[in-house]
Amino acid sequence: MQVAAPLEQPETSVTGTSITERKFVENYDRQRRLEMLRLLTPAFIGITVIVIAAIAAYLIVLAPGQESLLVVDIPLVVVLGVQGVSWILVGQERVVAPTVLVLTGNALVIIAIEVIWIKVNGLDLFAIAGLITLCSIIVEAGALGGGWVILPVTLAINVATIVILVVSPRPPQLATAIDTQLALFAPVIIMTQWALGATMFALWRNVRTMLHTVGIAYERAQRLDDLKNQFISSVNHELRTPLTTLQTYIQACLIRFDRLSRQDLRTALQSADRVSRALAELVKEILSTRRIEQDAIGFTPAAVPVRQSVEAAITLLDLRATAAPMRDLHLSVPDDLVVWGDSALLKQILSNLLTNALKYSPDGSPIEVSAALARGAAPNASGDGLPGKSKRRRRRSDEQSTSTAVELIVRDHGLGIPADEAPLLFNRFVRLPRDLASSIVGTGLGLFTCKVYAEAMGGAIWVESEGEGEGSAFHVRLPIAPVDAQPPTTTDAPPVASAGALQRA
Amino acid sequence: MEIEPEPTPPGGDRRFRVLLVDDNIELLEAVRFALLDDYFIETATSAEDALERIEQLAQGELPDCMVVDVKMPGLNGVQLVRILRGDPTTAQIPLIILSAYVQGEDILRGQLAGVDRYLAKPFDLEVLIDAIQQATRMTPEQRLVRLRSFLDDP
Repeated sequence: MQVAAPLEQPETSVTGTSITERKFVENYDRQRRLEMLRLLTPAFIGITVIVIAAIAAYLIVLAPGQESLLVVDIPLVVVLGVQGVSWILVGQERVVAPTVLVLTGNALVIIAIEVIWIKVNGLDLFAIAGLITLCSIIVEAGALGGGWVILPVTLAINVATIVILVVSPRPPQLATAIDTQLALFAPVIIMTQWALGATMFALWRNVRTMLHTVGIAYERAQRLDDLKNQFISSVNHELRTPLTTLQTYIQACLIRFDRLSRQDLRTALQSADRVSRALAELVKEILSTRRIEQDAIGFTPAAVPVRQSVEAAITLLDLRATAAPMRDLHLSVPDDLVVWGDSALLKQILSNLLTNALKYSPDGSPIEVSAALARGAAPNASGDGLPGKSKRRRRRSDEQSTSTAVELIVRDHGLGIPADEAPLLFNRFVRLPRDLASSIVGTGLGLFTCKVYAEAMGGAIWVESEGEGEGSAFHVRLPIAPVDAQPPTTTDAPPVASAGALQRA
Repeated sequence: MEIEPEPTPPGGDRRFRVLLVDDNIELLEAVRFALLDDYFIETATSAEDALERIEQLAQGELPDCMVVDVKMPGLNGVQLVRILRGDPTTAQIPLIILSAYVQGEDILRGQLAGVDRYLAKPFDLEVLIDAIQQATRMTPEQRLVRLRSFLDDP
């Protein structure tokens, strides 16, 4: 018999414990428990063999000629033999076969005894004792359902059976035989049956737990599969559309080549160029998640004034936006809040959140950015949304206690986010089904980036939304810079101009 | 980006009318650029927009062919096809479908069994042009046979 040694836990991926790891751990536990059973098997087989041998010895050596003993003994031998065989099957890790064997075998034997006895002696106490034993077998079958209370009930029934056998008047020719054998074998019968019931029960419980754990692992695998499919859908549509436009322009120029004026040709090429650049950006963004994670690690923490980062993010947006209509932006960010982290990462977080707010809320609706000292504990709503949330070993705890953190909120008045889909948004490439169906372009990486960066700085990010149609508020919590840390004297952004896509309200 | 709609040519333009329906304006512009020599192109950025336009057109001015994208916000391409086929005035307009779907494409094809042509994006422009040609050059007898087949399969 060999016991597999547990493997060292392999490196966890960013998405948590891999499925194969989990299944291995489950398998290992199961192996251990079955090992225990295998050790018990020889013991019980041994007892069964001893009992059968003792009966044989008694019959042949000590009480010759008492063929009436056969009425009591042969069924006993059969019962014990059946139990012995079932233990062998248990040792082979079979669950159903030994159970069926024992219960059916014992039941049939007792039914046979009952039939014969009642025919011979009528329905006396001895027969009733046999019927009670039959009940105990049925009750043992209930042990497979997992209720532990079955076990003491079975034991009680067996004890009652023995008591009745003891006190019941017996036919005279069997009296001596029964008396002798009861003293010897009754305890053995009870012990064996009860032990078998207990083990069946334990085995069944193990199987159920294992099924349950496998079920969780399966559910998790399904979720990951769904995420993968979401990613494929999202990326698929985002890539095919600009590619189609590009291809159409190129093929149109070729087909119409002789009829095109130089001006037309130039206009078409310029359009194609614009589309192909956007496509290139998209492809780079989709494939850059490695870079996101590497950027998040390699920074030196410093004091970062919040107000400056907000203004830098706004400037970044202003530079990018071209023909977007003006939107109202309300800022409520005190000058004296300073967090501990990296200014470029914070700027990117804010820029992503603001870009989302612009994209996913209608023209004319306001966007609000506010910052304040944090109150209360951060809800752990930026989890990966998968069952059995796993710990990320590389990150520090992302729940901060009160008032040692600054909380930034970017609020929009767009369509809002359904509560059950909110945690999933922080995964790679996930976009709401509603947004996938719309014409809004997105890779599903913006919030993932925010989460990686926020947690790398020891903070947290989550979203609160009343629901469909109520807008969304993205909360970012970051640790406060230590009191003695001086913010850098040079700012990394020019004063915010009021021209551009965002105007201060 | 706004697309200037072409003014309806007076005195009858002999070119066939093609109505393009897609929420992606860049793609509309590209396809129009490809076809404008040979066809009179009209565009709509949503199914609702397309239906409004059609409603306002007189019988003789209905599109001779429509190129419809499947995935659009609001009414999608499948629903638009159903609406068009359900209305006797528009039921015989040839419909060419463009789809960016990969997964569930078989189901989609099943739903769109009544269209004249189904093209996946990115499509070969020559294939699209060929499809439009076939659609617009059907004889009245061919159109009648087509119409009957739509009515037979609900």
